[in-house]
Amino acid sequence: MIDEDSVRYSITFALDKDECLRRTCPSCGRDFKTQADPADLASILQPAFRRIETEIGEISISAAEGESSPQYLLCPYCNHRAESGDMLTDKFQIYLKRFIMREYVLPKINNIFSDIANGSKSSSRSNSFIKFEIKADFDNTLPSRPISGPESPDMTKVEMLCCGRMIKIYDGWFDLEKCPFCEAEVRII
Amino acid sequence: MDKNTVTESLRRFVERRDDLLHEDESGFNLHLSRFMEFCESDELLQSVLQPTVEKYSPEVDSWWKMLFDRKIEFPQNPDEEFALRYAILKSVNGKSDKFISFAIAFGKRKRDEGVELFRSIVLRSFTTELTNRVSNAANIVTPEERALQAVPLSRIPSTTETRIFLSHKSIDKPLVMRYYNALKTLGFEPWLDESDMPAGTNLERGIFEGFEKSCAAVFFITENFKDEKYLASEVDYAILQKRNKGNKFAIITFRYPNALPVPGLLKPYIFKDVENDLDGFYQLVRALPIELGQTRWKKEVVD
Repeated sequence: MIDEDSVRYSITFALDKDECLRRTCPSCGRDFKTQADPADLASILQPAFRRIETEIGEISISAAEGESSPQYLLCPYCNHRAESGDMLTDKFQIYLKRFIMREYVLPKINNIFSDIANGSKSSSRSNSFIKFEIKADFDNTLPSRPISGPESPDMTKVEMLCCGRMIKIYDGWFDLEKCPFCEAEVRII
Repeated sequence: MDKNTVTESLRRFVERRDDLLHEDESGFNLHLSRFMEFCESDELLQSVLQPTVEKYSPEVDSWWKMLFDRKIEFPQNPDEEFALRYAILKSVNGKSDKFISFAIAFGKRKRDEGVELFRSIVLRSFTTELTNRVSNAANIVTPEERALQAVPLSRIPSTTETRIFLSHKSIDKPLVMRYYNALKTLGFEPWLDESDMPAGTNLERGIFEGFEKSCAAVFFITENFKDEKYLASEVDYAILQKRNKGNKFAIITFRYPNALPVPGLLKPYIFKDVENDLDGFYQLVRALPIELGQTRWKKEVVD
């Protein structure tokens, strides 16, 4: 749920020349690509955001489309089934993490330190028991904004005649058994 | 450049660019030198950088002078700006003191602060632009490729059920041979007559087996057609197959000019009055329950 206090960010990520997003199977570690559909973005990002929330802690992030029902994919090589957002490459996840750190987490930390410094400087005083002073010296320069891509135009396109969608798999891989999207049994012929 | 070379080039580009943008300031000189070395030597990167750098000869020394006067300016022309940023990168490569100058120009003192400012003011925009240009170049140099097709198993027939039974009277063989040859050339498997049966096969049994292996029966009603003898059996077998196979079997009847009416048993199924072979062939391919695969080059063209 996006409330009035939410801050919105737009994020871009690289697709290849056929508008495909590179993915990695978490089970066998091999890469494949799926055609990116803007309607699927929430389900792609949500699990990744959840992972980052767990790592970073006190933050709550969600895709602008809000919670969507999870979508699952099958790996075209080993048939491993996982949530669409769990089949992202390490590079993509590092990009997301860098983006969130730069756009959300670090500005927030800077604000907190800034508030502490300002408050301390103005209220630094002695009392009957202790005198304290804080010297605030922190660097509020943000790291470079990450860049996504470019995505290489590699792999072989496979049109899924069962559901009309498209994937890309390693050149020379013909042992596709099930459609990664609708899970129909298929053969490349 | 082939697809693998482009892929490897992009992989190394992303790795070196991200090291340069995101790794710790202490290793910045090393990452910059590796990035610049890659830009100077990689074929894909050179195809992007060289034409622009050669076209504009950026005045990098003047830019540094202006920086010391606390003025930062970049050209309005995007190509010129791109060339200047690249020249600035070259000018700092291997010269650590330049970052201290950069820091001082912004009222800072430390080298690390200079590196951060340099990343923010010069490097980030350059790498973003270079990424876009390299991405476009990679797309252009790799050819469009046809997609393979993954067909659902339910749509893949076995090889023993896709023949097309061409039922005809012997006197019409020249007409039917034209259909046979056209179907064969396209990749279908027509079943004509005893020539498709092993030697010594009982004719009636052989015809029945021909129907068992077929997904369609085509009847040619010409002025010579009579619903009798083997032709009558073939009508009966076709109807039996239709009952057994449902939508995976088609009974197709063509009535040529001057022919007798279509036999009553065939009337519930597809029948067309055809003017000529081309018309008949068009109707036949449309009515078949099977279709051919994707387009490909003929073997002799590519060998």
